[in-house]
Amino acid sequence: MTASVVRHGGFNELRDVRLGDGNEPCLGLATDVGTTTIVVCLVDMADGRILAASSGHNRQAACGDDVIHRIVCAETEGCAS
Amino acid sequence: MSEMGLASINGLIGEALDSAGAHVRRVKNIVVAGNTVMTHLPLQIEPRHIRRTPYIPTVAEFPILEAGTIGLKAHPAAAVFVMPGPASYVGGDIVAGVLLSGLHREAPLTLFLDVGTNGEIVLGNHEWMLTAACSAGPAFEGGGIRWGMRAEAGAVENT
Repeated sequence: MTASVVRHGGFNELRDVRLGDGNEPCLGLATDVGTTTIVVCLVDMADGRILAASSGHNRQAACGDDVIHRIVCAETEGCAS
Repeated sequence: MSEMGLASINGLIGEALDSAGAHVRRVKNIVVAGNTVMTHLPLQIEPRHIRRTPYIPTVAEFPILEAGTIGLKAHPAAAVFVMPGPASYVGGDIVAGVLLSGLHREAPLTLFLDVGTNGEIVLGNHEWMLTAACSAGPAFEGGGIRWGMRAEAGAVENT
């Protein structure tokens, strides 16, 4: 059995339990959400190696170039949409 | 707006997973850094008081979230750590920069700059820190300028 645990505030929180020996390394994502550009790095959590990276435009840019326009846009259409 | 932000992030996660040949369920941790507006919108948190009185973010410190709950492409129970954004325009980028550089533990003064569409700076040391923010988009991306453009081919015609 393999358990995935997150430690915070002095507690261990169980996130996932699977059958078998989970030898395959756990992966993490580092995400930089920029107003214009978003960058994602895929990281091997065992040794910190960056396995892949990708970057692209934030599609919200259709609603305006800067953060103020994004807030105005969210206000008019409701931020859930 | 919320969906556009999430779709952009998920598209890039998909690309990174494909190029590494990794399965989505192996992703168990996600760290997200962005300015306050960029963290509020994908999480469907009301952003209006960032630009209106009292000029504060609705949420400054986020609990650990689950990828499945907010719709990020990862193992549904993956832990999502969103960097705190302490003030309206002082967001997770600058907090991540402080943590990485460790300037808050050093005696000498350090100036850390994040020059993005939303530019933020922090100056300080182990005793105090000052932050400020302003839009750098017009200078580097031509945002809000009639004949402005991004720093790409054609921006400089000849020298």
